[in-house]
Amino acid sequence: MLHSRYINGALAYWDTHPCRIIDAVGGSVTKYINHFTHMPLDDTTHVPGDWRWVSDQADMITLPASLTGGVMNMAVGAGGNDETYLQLGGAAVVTNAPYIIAGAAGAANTYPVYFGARVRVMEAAAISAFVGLSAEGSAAANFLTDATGALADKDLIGFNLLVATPTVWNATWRNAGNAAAIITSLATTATSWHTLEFWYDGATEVTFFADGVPHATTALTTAVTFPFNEEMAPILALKGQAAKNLQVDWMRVFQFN
Amino acid sequence: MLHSRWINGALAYWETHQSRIVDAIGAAVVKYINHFTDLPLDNATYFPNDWMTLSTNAGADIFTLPASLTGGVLQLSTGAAAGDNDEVYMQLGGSDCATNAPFVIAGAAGAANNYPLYFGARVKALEHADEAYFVGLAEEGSAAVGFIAADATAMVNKDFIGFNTLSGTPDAWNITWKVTGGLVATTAVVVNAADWHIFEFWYDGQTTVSFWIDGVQSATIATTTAATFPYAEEMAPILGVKTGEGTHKHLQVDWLRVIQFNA
Repeated sequence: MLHSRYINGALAYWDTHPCRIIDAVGGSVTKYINHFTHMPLDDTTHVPGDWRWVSDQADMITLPASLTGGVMNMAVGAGGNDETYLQLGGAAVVTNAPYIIAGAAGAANTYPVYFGARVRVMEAAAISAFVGLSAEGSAAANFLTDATGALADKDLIGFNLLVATPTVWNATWRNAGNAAAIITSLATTATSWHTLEFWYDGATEVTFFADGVPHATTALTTAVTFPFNEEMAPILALKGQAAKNLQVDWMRVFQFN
Repeated sequence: MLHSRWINGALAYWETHQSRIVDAIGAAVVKYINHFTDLPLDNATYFPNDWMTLSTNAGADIFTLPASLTGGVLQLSTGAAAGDNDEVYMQLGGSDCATNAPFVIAGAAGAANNYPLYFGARVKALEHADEAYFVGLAEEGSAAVGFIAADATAMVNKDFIGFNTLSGTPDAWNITWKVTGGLVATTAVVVNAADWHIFEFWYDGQTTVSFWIDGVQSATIATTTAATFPYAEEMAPILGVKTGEGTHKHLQVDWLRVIQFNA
């Protein structure tokens, strides 16, 4: 059952938890919603027009006809450590960074952020992946490190799979120049569909949700490891030691300015 | 705080004034809302796929999404290689040849058509010396050489309504409208052209268009029955910049909303 509440004067809709936002209407809301019913692709290269795209191979983005609900499939080639990255913005060179969590030193900025995506990987071995927000320019070679899938030294927050534990999704965040923080194994059986979300409350706390359930461990924006006050954009990342696939059913990001 | 009301059977959301529409839901609503969190660009030219574009210069620096700005911001630039009278326009539609015209204000002779229309944009002109900017609606095919005249002194002879600056008064944003063949109507409304401003107008479905600057209603009113008004003309959103000197100019757009309440 859909409910609504006001956040910074905007009307926010939610289903099962007031932090799991479905949609929002307001003059100061910055939102991105994609059901992946379609995708603007270049008619020659088949590269998405509204994401920065980096891949070792061509034709790595598809919309599988066998799946209802709108699903985007990202793939990587079989070359070993092949990788594909999509970061919201435009075409091959334009990077955007519309979202920010907390202010200087992680102090409250009073602008709550919701991020959510429903995802799965099609193979749970020799694979690494990331779904979340990261600094502009993150869609570049080795955002996911060869062999391990460890995340590059970038500002980021989201969910990842590592080569050593390819069947589980972790929550992770990092402030460039500092160690990555991780909450391991939020969701198991990575080849099943999972809804992965986080909510910044506008103060100093970020809560992670896996399949609708909030995790007891939260992130504090004032911690040195947290990417506070950094402009970030949605990113999808995949790397494999053989051909692999990441599927995304939907993605939603709201900031209540 | 968000409120709502019915307009032609559709649900319209508004915040501080019921004519300043934030969003709308209804079977007969035609709406375009863009937060510019992303922009579909051609992989080779880096020009938008869903806008008709005209640019004197080519390259990846004409249509950009600056990484240093949160909230989603589109930047139009005449390009680093800009020479005198270089210009860049984008009009909603598709790629290089498709022009769109989804919106219309009033009927024949400016009579009421009963289809209220809201236009709004949050924009910033980064320079204000010897250039011109335009944000608003214009007839199809306006994204063409000379939509803003030589030396950025005036607008071309087209149907349009919106907000602009001109090289003669580069510190001021104006309210402006014109019907092809008629005189242009212009009223200066905002100085400090280099600041962020919210420009909006509201057609009430009858014969009046009111204008809003940073949330405050302007004293300027357009009457759709006037000979200068672009009544019954199909129009589409358009953004444009022209430099009147040999340096490049930039227009930034935070968001754009156009909503028409058909019935």
